[in-house]
Amino acid sequence: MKFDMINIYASLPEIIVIVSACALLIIDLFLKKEQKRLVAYLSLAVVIIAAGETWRIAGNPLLVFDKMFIVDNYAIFFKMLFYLATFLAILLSINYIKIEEIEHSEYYILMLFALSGMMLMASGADLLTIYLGLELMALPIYMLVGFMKKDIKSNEASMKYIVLGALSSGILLYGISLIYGLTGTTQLSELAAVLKKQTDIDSAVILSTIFLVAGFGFKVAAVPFHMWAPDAYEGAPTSITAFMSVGSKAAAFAVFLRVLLDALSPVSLNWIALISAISVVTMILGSVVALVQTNIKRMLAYSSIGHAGYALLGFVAGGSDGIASVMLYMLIYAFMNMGIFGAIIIMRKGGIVGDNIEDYTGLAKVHRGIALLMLIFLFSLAGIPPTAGFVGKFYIFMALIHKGFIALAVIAALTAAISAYFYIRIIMLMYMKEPLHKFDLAQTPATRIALAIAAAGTIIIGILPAWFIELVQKAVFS
Amino acid sequence: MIEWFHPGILFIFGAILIPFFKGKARQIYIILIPALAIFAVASMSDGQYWSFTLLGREIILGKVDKLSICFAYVFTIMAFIGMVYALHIEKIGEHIAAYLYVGSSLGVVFAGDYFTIFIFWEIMAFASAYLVFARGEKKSIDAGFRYLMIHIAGGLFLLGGIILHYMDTGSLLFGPIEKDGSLAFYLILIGFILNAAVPPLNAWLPDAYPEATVTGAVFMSAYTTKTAIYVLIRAFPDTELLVWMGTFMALYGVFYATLQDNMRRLLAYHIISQVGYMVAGVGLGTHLALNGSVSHAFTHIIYKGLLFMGAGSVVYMTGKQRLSELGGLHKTMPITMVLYVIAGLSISAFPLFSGFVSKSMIVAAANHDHRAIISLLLVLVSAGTFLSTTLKIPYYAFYGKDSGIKAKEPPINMLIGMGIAAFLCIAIGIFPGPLYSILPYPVDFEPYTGDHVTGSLGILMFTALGFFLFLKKLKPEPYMTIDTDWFYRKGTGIFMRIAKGPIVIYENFVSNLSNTAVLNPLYVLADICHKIDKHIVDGAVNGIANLILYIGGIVRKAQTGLLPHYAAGIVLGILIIITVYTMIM
Repeated sequence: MKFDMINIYASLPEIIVIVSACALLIIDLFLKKEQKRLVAYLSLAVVIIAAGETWRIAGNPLLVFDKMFIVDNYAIFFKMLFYLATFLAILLSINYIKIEEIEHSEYYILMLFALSGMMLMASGADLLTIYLGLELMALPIYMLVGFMKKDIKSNEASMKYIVLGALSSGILLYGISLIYGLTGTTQLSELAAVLKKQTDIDSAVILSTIFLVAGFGFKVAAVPFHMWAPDAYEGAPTSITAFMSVGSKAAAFAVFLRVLLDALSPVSLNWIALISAISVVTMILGSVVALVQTNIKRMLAYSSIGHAGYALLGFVAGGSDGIASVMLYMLIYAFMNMGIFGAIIIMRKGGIVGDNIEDYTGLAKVHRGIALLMLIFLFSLAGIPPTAGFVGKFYIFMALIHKGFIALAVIAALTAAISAYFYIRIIMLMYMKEPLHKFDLAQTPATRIALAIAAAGTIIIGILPAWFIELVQKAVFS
Repeated sequence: MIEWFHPGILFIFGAILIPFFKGKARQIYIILIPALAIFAVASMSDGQYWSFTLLGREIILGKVDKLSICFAYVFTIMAFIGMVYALHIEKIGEHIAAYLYVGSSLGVVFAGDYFTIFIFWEIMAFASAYLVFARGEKKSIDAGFRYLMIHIAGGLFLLGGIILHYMDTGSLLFGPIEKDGSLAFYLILIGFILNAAVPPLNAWLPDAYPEATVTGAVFMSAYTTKTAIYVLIRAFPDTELLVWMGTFMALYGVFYATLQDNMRRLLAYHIISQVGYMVAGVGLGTHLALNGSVSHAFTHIIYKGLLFMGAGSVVYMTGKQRLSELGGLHKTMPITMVLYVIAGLSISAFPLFSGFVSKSMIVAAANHDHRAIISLLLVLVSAGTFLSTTLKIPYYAFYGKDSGIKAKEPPINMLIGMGIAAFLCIAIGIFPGPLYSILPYPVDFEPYTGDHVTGSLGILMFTALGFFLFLKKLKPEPYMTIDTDWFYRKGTGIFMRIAKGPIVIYENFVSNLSNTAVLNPLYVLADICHKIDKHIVDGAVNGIANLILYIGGIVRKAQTGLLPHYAAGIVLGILIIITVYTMIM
């Protein structure tokens, strides 16, 4: 492999994030206890600088590191999405981790490492790069889930996540090794070329496809690989729940899309039925089980499972519209989910944990603004016009219908109607009942900025979808 | 100069600014927007505006013709009246919801494609549900939730229909639908007639409206059902099914209204009855009939708003809405009573009041179309309306035995709102010209012919006579045994009507009527429909909800919290997938 400056140039954003994270580890040693918050601000700066650098190298697609690393519009779109998620999650964390008494600088540094893993995934043009990115993202997140060391739920969640994560990684690696044995390559476009030439599909290819789907399905929390999600979401610090439900889910979808719709597209007939079935059970289970939850983080975990089901429909639709619809859905999901978790985070102060749905009773009577924001985010999650959530669902449904998958679209619309019930139930509690207790919100300028960004995204995409649709359509990989 | 401005957008964006005003400034602001909207409607001309493409499909926000302008006029006028009436409300939530509700109704009226219609349709459902919730009592929150769920279900039917229609025709443009009996045709029809409250899909209306806030009910009485009439006129003119549905609906509503004790519930049933006229008019589909439906929608919105404002004033001042608990209010609320009676005379199509000039048009259209039964039944409904709305409510609420309630006249803004509506009721009744001139088709109809006037007066007078005779006889429990006697008395009314026409032709039919060969089965049918609605339709909605909750409870148990189970779940999942694949191949 000839080493070239172009390699450095193309991976500069990743280098910036990783080197800065290491530097922050050292800087941290010289900070006094009351100066530790500086790490949070420096992390925010790192994210912004990396975003600027990513923006600067956008333009011509680059395929570097011996065709293992790609910088195309698709990768840039997802990287921007990860920066957004990380930025908002850090803003929401600053005050929250102080309240939870877990204010250690490693928290932010681990987030930056996880971010670098996600970036590597988005740029992965080879199954091995993708796997590397996946682990680089997963390991810091395992630690972050268990960051509340004194909380038994948090420990348990982390433990479960690690063991199941190892299992799924094993399955994924097995799939990758099968593919390599069958085709002699792990590079995505070469893989597609080899598979295209085969007229007779080996059943081992199908087996390896199933393993890949299981591995990625675990990361996006699709049924039946979803069981870790409710426990991990509930146990993790809420800010980390927000970070992983948006960031790591989007990263998993980024590689899932690239692998299935690029490398494995020649054998698409063999996985479309599988993905359809998974998406249907995922949507149904996600929305039905969410109905009976009393803990809001668990409810949102199931809702997040349901949303993964909708996004999987975009895979079934396929083609550039299918890919674009998943990308748009991820962007919209980032805004609305960050928003709703942000609202949950500021509920955490003093005595109230803000985990129970009942805790929100009568919120609108006392804090009109926060209740209104939650209403917008919940409407968007339910997919009610004119919020962004509706645009996301509508685009996916349209792509599906265009390809003739009417039955799937109908099922999706029905589950969306079921899921509307549990989102609206929270709104009912907030607006229609008298408060049960005093509200004492943990609002700071940082959380206000985060909520404002999330709300602006949710509303603007809802009202002016055309610009964003054009954006994602331009960023689709070919 | 802007070429065209969407009055609905004015309301929707206007709603966002409401919280920024306080006190007097807010009061001015909330009536200024409807006034501007009326001006915007008055200055617009036919054409197509604000269209753009989204995902390769054309989206039209502003399709303007005489039909949409006519509906826009009455929607904006009613918004103005309703806002004046609601001026004293301190809670801005209600104002915002009302604004969104009016704005989205206008959005439907100017929509040129199904996509736009669907979006505004959903906003309407949510905004209006808030008007029920806002009353804040447990009963109203429950009713509001049922209301919302039913409308979400209706919205899904509509969406399904729209998608199938798009598949069939490749176009989302909104216009007359081909009557091919396809699934798309029926799904869209169901979505529309659910909002028009056509039995058996009507239970939500009398369920939710009496539980809405005093001012909320005024708005709700105007927009949801009339928007549905508008889309029916556009998409389903000349559909035979609708003629019968509408006539049945008119009878159904009036029967149930007569049996009610709750004032606003009684009025809610009358909405169903009156909307029945309009649905029948749409079904007839002739120019005269469509003009009749549009003009009846126009007058209905105003007099029904006035009725709800009058009843609402009583509720607002006394806190009671059951007729059996009221009485003797004429001493303390005389102005309210007079204004209310004006609306009552309008809804019963009394000559010189607005209902007369529009309702007679639909009846005449049925006559022109040689549909004797339809026109007869529709006239009959008029008598029933007069009985319950104009005689029963005023008698028991304002006269009757004195309940000893010391009520005062409502706040001045409520009286002014009612006054404007009452003025319009009389003005349209005496000078129908301006209304006729904005109807979608040229009008060649004269309401004040000797025949029409004497016919209507005759039937109304005989109904009144019947009411007072009947009242003396059954004073202690006035509304439990109304039904059978009521038919008998209606028999006389029908005779009077028929005597002026060719008696010979109708003779057989009328004797059948008094033998209750037609009406009794109809009454039984109405009852069955009501039961189906209550037990099967509502039951199914609740049953499915409970079933889903139950399944959710079971599936939740699969989440044991034990790591080995989760791992086993993943492995088992993969094994199942592999097994299925090997079986297929």
